[in-house]
Amino acid sequence: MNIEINYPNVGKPALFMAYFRKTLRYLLILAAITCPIVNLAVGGKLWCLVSVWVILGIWDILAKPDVIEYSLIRQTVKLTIYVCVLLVLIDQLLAPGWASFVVPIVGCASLIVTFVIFVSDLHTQMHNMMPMIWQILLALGFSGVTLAGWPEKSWPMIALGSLALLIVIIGVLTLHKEIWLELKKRFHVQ
Amino acid sequence: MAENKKKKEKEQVQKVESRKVLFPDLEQHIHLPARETKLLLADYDRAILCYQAQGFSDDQIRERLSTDRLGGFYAHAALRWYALDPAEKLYPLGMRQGEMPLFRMSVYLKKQVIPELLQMALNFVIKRFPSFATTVKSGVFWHYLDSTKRRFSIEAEKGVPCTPIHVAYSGSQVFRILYYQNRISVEFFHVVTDGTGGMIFLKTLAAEYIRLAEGVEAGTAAGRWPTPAEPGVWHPEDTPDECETANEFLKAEIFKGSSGFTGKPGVQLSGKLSRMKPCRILHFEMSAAQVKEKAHHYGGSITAYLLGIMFLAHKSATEETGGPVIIQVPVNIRKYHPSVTLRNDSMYAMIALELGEITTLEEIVPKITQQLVEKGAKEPMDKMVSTAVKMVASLKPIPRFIKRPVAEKLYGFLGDRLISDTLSNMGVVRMPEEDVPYIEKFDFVLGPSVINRAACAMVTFGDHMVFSVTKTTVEPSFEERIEKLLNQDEVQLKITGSPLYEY
Repeated sequence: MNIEINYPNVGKPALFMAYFRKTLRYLLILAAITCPIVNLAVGGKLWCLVSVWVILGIWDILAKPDVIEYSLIRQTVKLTIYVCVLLVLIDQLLAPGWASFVVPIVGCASLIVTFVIFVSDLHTQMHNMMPMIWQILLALGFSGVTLAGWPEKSWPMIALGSLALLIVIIGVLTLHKEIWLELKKRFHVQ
Repeated sequence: MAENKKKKEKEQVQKVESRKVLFPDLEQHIHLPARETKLLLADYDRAILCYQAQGFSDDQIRERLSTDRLGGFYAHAALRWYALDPAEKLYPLGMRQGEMPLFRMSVYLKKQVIPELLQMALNFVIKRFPSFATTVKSGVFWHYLDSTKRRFSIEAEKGVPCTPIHVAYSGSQVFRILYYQNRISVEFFHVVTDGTGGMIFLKTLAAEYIRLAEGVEAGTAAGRWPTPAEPGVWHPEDTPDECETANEFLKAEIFKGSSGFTGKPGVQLSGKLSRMKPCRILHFEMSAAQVKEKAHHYGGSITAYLLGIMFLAHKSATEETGGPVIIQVPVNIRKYHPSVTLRNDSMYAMIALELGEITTLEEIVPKITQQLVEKGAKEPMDKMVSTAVKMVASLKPIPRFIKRPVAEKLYGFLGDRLISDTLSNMGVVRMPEEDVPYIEKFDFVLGPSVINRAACAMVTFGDHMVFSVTKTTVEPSFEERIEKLLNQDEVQLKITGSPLYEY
């Protein structure tokens, strides 16, 4: 065929990230299969659940990142959830007794980070506030449960609840219309 | 170094001064984050310099770059949002890394494109298409299009055409505007529009660019929807109407039973799938009058004739010995339910022939014509719309994170498997008379599919018909056969296209 080329010549495409992700995915699958087998064979504490959770986190954040809505707030919230659950798993399965104190501190720090990201670029982040709303609701929920006495009252949990409540008050006072619109968009079923 | 820096600073001051003198109210039209405002102002600076270099007077520059054309788009908050219609919902739901349903449309001008003016044309035109000034967002149940206010950008074409658009980041564009030599191309994520809407945007952009570059203003005041008498170029200063972004599927009549989305898998072209998708784009350029004459000779329309060529080419480019070759032909349902929506408003007719039935053009063109008439009629289209609406309604209460993994498997792997190829015919594109002397041709290219090795699309401007093939296999027998068949029919051909991208 005699083809007249009318497109630019492109060099070899940079496929490093694609190959990296593909290799990572195979390695993660291999690890996810190997860990439980080794754990069951060797016996002892159920550390494989911790490793599988870490593998799941790496898969979700690095190997198969979001193709839609990869926002800084969303990634921060996602990472926080993975870290908090990981801490709880370590506490429950490997070294008990500290998670109810540490997890709310991590949550508090993450809430501050997401709030700072949100206010630093209000114009853009206004459209990305939903993961932060979920995070606030989770924080309020856990604080409420803790205040009711389960598993135990701790100052970090009270601080987390107070911070979440403060952000809710600021949000409702200043951005109630925008928050309402965001909720309408996010929960539409049309 | 210091001298260079001083010189640059001086030039910058001069640019800003001339912009402030020419457009003192420009900054009142812009209320964007600082980085976006800076980009928009720099666009004005570059366009002014471009005109000044060509010896334009201040009045001429004021007229062409009038801030009236910006309207309030860059000053108002982004409040609009659009729920996806049933045809659009599967696209983001089933999308995976490196895959995206998209299409590309290009206009070839008679002169080289001036990027500074093309950027300004986009800055002026985008406000007329609010549903395009959006980004895809994830809702709890469905994705949606959320409006975004930013300076939308053009790019010099440097990469492989029809590769996925990065829509993940905040405020990402759902389309890509590229320029290369005398060509302006727009690549759309299919979630935002279909071919008809995309073509209206491209024509409007081209007309605005021609106004800026050549000073020719086309009479588009009354122009709205393309008809045989009306080019369908929209005036950037008109106010967008709600009906232009309406979800027409909400008006669909609901029938009992389902239609159109199931069936036997189609025979695929042989050849290893390429790593780079697409691995090549080819354009078969022909005389529309000549092709029409040949089509009439075989007793069919241009679409039927080219489908016939595709069936024959497909048969010769597959190792399969049995099964149906199924070519998907998008049908614009606006012709059955008049509508002016820019959103997706098309369904599909599946034209199928068993491999054994594919013999000669004389025999198959009448069969194809009959199938086009039957399967592309109002009733099957309505039934298909009804099925889509019912399917979406039944999935409504299920959260997106549950629907997504299922849709991911269905999209592409199963969806593409049901068809062998696609042929999308945009028909005849018209431009206002004033713009025609500046335009050489149009082309229309479908994005690569997951399994099908070829996807075809065609468009005609004047007597210039361009039949494009998007390849995802290096193996060339499909396109070689098409060339041979057209040559046998004495259709004069010019083949243009991209280099082979596979490595």
